[in-house]
Amino acid sequence: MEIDIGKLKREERTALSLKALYRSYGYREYKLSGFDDYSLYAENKSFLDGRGVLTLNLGGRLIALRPDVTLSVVKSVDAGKCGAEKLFYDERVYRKSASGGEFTELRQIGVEVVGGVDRVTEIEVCELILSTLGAVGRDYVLDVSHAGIVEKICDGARLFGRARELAVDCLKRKSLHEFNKLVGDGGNEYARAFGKLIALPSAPSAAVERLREVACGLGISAELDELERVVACGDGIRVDFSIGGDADYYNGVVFKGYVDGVPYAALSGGRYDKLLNRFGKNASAIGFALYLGELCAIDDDATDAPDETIVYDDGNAADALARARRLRASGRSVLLRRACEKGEL
Amino acid sequence: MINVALPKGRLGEKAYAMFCAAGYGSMDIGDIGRKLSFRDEKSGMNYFWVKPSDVAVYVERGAADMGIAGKDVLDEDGADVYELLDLGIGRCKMCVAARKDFTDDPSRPLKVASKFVHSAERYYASIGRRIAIIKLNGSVELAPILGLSDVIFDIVETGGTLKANGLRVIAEVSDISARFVVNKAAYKFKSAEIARITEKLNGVCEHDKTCCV
Repeated sequence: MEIDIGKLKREERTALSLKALYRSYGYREYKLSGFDDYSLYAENKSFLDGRGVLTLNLGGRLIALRPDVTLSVVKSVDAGKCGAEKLFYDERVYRKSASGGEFTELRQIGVEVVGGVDRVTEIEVCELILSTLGAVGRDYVLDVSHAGIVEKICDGARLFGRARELAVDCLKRKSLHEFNKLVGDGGNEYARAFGKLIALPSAPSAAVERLREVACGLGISAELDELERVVACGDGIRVDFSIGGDADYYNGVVFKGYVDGVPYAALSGGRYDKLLNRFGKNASAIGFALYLGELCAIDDDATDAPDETIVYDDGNAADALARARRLRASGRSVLLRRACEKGEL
Repeated sequence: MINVALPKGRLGEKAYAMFCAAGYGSMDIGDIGRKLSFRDEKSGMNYFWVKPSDVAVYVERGAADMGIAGKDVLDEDGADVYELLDLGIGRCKMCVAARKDFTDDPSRPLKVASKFVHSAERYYASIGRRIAIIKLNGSVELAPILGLSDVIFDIVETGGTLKANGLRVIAEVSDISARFVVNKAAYKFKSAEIARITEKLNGVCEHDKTCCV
């Protein structure tokens, strides 16, 4: 039977086209099995963006309903192999959605490259992100930042501990007025550069040019070169350091994708060698995830209404079945419904 | 079209006056009457009045592109929004206050009454003081008077209410004022309009500062 793609829901259509896309780049589908120990998530809470973990106690063993896929992949994949493991997945995760509320089952689809990440891989992954956002079928924006630049500038500005937390919070909120209060008049050239990150123009060329003016002095030239290469990948990319990227995990480019009509980021990812290091794996890694559940906010799917409804009773059941088969064979969707008995609603 | 959530009350009216001064509103506040939402045809802005503590929720969830929220509410709820400007209105301080005869006993947890439980917990964690938090929704000043708490953690504007109830400020925690907040996704897709509004509002803030000096 031929599948009419147009009759599928947005989530189903998007997932199918994305899996075909990732296979066209030679990526293998990775299937996760079973549960993970709660400790995996307890030790890496900040990677989960505070969206919580649902746990079950199985005979004294505390296990988690998977809130995210990347951690499970990183834990399982052998990063010692020569070359990169290029994988994609389509999994259910259990966590609070970005819109808050109770725990829910959400579909997450994404890509992970573990080991052997070079500049070609970074550009390839960025291309895949743009195609992924494009597959949703709406206007999109891909914000890119660089965790290494933020880290070096924070170190140079002598922002450590609580002061760094506050400064990074100002960056995430684009709150230059709060940052100026925080550093006062005592800030050095790095503190001034941090202020520049908050108020950076989003157009890639203008942002890179602005940072290039200070890159040599701050020792961030290599990181800026990397950022420049990635943001040149295609249209719809902007430089925005407010998107965060936990410094405990990310060490290079960080991505966050927005789709018109969805009030939260629908995609996030980045270069996460540091996360691998936390698992004792000395290798590079990059990946991203599309939160298909968040796309449900775009409520433009047609409701599940059949093209035809055939009402039957004991006298015409055989005819009704035959007619329904004929109509379905011609591409119509048909609902068979038994006629109500007298007195039934 | 831009949707703006304004806090009901005096603060919201002041904020709307700033939007008008920036060229984004022309209706007189008296003409708006009891309408919960209204549109400024000239600028294409839709305004709606919401409970002050709900502004950040409307903005974070995208029902409003932007809004005006108190820093106290933003800190308490941790809303994931851009905070682009300090409008400099509704100024007050987040303070710890106690009865005039209060002396701290560090050998036991401090009983703290507040509407702002998360902010209070963060503050006391930052200074390493054990507390027992008591969530109240109003008339917080009564708590130490009736022995419900040792101290209160609350916003103080003039100090008049504290004084009238025999309380005094024992620590100033942070400065509070109204902030111009923007939904993160709206910022991506309406960037030019939002940048223009931000710049003009900033101009009004700077003008107001100059006038006040």
